Amino acid sequence: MQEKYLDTDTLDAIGPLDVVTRQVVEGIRIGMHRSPIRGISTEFSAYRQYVPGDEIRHIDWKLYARTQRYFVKLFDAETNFVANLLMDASASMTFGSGNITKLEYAKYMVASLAYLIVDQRDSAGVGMFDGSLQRYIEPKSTPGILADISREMEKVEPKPRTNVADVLHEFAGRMTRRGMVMVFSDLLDNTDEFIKGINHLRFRGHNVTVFHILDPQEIEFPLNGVWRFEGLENDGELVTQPARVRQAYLRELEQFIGKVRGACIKSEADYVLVNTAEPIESVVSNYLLQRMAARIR
Amino acid sequence: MTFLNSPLLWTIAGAIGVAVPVIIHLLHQRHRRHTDWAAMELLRRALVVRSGQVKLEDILLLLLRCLVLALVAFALVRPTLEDQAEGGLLGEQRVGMVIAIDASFSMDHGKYDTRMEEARQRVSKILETAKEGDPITIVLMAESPRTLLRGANFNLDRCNDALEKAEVFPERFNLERATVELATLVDELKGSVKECYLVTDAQAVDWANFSKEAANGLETLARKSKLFLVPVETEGRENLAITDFSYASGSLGPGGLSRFTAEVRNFGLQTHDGGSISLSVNDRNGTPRSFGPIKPGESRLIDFYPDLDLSGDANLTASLGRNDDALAIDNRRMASVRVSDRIRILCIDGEPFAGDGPGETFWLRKALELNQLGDDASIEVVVTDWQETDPSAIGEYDLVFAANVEEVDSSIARSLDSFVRKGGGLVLFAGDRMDLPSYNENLGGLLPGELIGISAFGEGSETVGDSPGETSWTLAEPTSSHVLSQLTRTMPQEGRDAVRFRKSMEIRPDDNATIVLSLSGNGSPLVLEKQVDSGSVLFFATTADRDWSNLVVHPLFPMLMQQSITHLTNRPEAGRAGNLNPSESDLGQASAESLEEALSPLNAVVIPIAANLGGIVKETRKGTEISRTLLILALLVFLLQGYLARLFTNRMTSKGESSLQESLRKHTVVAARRT
Repeated sequence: MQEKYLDTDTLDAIGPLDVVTRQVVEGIRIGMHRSPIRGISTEFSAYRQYVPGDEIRHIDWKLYARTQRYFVKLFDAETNFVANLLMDASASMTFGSGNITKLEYAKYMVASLAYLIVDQRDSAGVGMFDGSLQRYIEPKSTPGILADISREMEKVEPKPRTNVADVLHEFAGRMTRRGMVMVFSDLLDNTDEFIKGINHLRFRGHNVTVFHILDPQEIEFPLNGVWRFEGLENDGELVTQPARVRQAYLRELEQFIGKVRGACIKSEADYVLVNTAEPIESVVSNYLLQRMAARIR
Repeated sequence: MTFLNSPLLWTIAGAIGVAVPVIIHLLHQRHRRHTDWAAMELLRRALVVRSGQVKLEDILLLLLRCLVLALVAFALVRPTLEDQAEGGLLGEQRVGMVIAIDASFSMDHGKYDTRMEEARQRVSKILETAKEGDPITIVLMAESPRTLLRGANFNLDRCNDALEKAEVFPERFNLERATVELATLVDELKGSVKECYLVTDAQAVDWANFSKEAANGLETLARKSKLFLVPVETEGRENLAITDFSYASGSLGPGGLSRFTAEVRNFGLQTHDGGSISLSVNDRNGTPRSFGPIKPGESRLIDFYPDLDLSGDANLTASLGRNDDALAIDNRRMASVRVSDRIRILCIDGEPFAGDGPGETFWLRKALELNQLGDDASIEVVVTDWQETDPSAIGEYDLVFAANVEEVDSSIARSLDSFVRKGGGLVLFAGDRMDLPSYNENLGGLLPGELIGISAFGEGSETVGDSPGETSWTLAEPTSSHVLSQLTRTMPQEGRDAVRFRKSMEIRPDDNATIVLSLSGNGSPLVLEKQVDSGSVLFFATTADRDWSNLVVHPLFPMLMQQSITHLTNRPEAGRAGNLNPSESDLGQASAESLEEALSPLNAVVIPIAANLGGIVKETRKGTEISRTLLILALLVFLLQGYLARLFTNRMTSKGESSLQESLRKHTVVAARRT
């Protein structure tokens, strides 16, 4: 891969793992995922006694001849899924204490996951938003979409004020079929509104994963001395000694994370706290392993 | 409260110190770093909780840090509570002592134990009041101080060793200098209490009426320290001493006759029965001379006519015979003279072709070669024309006489200057041929003054006071201690008045010139002397012939010339160095009452001989230094602010930190369990 956000090392590290969804979703393409829609596939699954309403064409007449009973043949349909990856491109995502900003990190993650999805012939679409949906690439399963994603992400110009909730509501209305929605954001917005957006997506039957991206400095707040903090979202500035307020800040952070995480659990959405100090492949691998483990259970 | 270190200095230092944390705080606030920040809402909420508290904490920490530095600065000033008798919990009493022991030779008096022995015992008593670590200075005071211990931490063995080295010097006790030196030593001491002890025999000559300079010195000492006067005494005060022994007159050449005089004085309270005094020349004893009874306070002059046949330096010592006084050091006195076997004199004649009568060199040769016969003559006079004088030959002579020389060119002047500075003697006679500008210019460094011009009797106000009808000046009454002046004084008044002067050379004397003889009436100098390095120059403001005066035909002239030879070549006066100061021989002591009266304005303590020295010292000792307490307090405040700073900074313990990290780790991935 030659595209900027499709890092070969990252993809190699993630490669052996498949993107496995927990739920079987319907798809327009025959893929490797089980579908609840029986009879579309040619792969036999089981017999079931005929009940009124079943389609006559699904009755196994040979078995009727042997048993004098009506049985309907059931088939596992192989489908693909549509994944929409929504990346927060607001100004707050431009913060980065190390070599990489949260936005850059999110871009790498989005590109990597999109590649894995397309590689297994599922469809991936990407949306980039700040106050509203800034750019949207319709889901496709062709490899060419990866180049489109990378190109579009390079054009992103961060703007202040994220409104994740509105974007989630908009998506909930836009997606006609159930699918997968992955949100990449620092969620430094109105938490209650965000939770409503998640609930809306879940209500529409989508499988939602929230990647909560934070910088290590935001997580550990290790600064000493006197600092002037200037808000990236046009929210003023503050002068303080971080060491003196560190404990209070960390408590606030813990509460904030706890609230988002709790809301996700309640809505049956996946929640992933991402520290940009950690390698991307590690984060993605860890997430996929957790999902597989949850499927096995 | 007093301060052992300069309060002004340390107050400034303290103020700067206190300002440091304030400045650092302000700079800290000013030089804040900047960062963009995304999680502003979280930070804002954290600040709402902490901001008011943080300000209070900051102010408290700042005050505590300022207090630490203020306490340290205050401790460095070393404040002392004056009324505090003992150290106790509040502080410590550190006593700095300067012990000055009179080491003049009068302290050697005593038939059994000397006054110095007594002084050692008294000092030991003083040292018994010291504690380990107290700074101690022990100094011997005579003409100049000798330090035995300087600011040393008290250690009894070390102090005793120093006391063993205490000795008497053949010098007087210079109270004026001692007080100045002691004040310096007191300043050096670091102690909450400063004490200065003067251990002395308190001779009346020093202490009964001390000079204003000494009084000022004692006042300074008493202001800087607690001043104690510790008198010592020994039994009896009878003392016979030779107070003077010196060359009086006469020729010191081989075969010449010279007179030396010894003065014997009775400093005791009883009449001395008399005794003998002997003179030794270069350790060869002469015949003792007896003297009769001497009453208390009286002196007796005894003349000696030593045999000085051998050339070279002669050391003469006058010693009292067996004497039962208890101070032996002042029973002898010394003098030294140089005896020359041959003296070469160059006479430069400034008027070699004088028509009428004998010229200057005729009279000079007569006076200088007095009683000299043929080859045995010890004085050789060479006469030369002033225009034919060889400058390079001047150094071969002991003396140079120049009479009425018209001009002194630069080469002659340089030779004469070098000759005099190396120890030669130059005698100049005035005359009407002298070119005064050339003298003033070329011989300015040698002349005892600036030559102004010739004055003649009756031309000005110089006649005032003279009797009407007088036609010339006479010699004024000789008052100088110069040997030529004393010689002139030995001549009867009538004889002196027979010398008449019609003219004289006016001269404005230099500051370092000595006027030996003057003229009556106008009082203008007749004979002057100026010391130039090792030699000297005599200037006669009259001629060496009969043109201006009849001096050359008067018996005084050869006497003056002979004495000038001795004075300029032998310098017997210089041999008096190294003798004792006779004032120290007076062993009379000031009474304790008179000392108390004299020192009472200074709040000094006189400790009588019979008194309990240690008890009095301890009773008067007051002053506690509280710097240690202040430093401990500063340390405690420092620790407190450190603890509070740590507390306020809310540095999380490892337990708290790991707990939060663990909490975040658990939250990392939460895969929802959907129904």
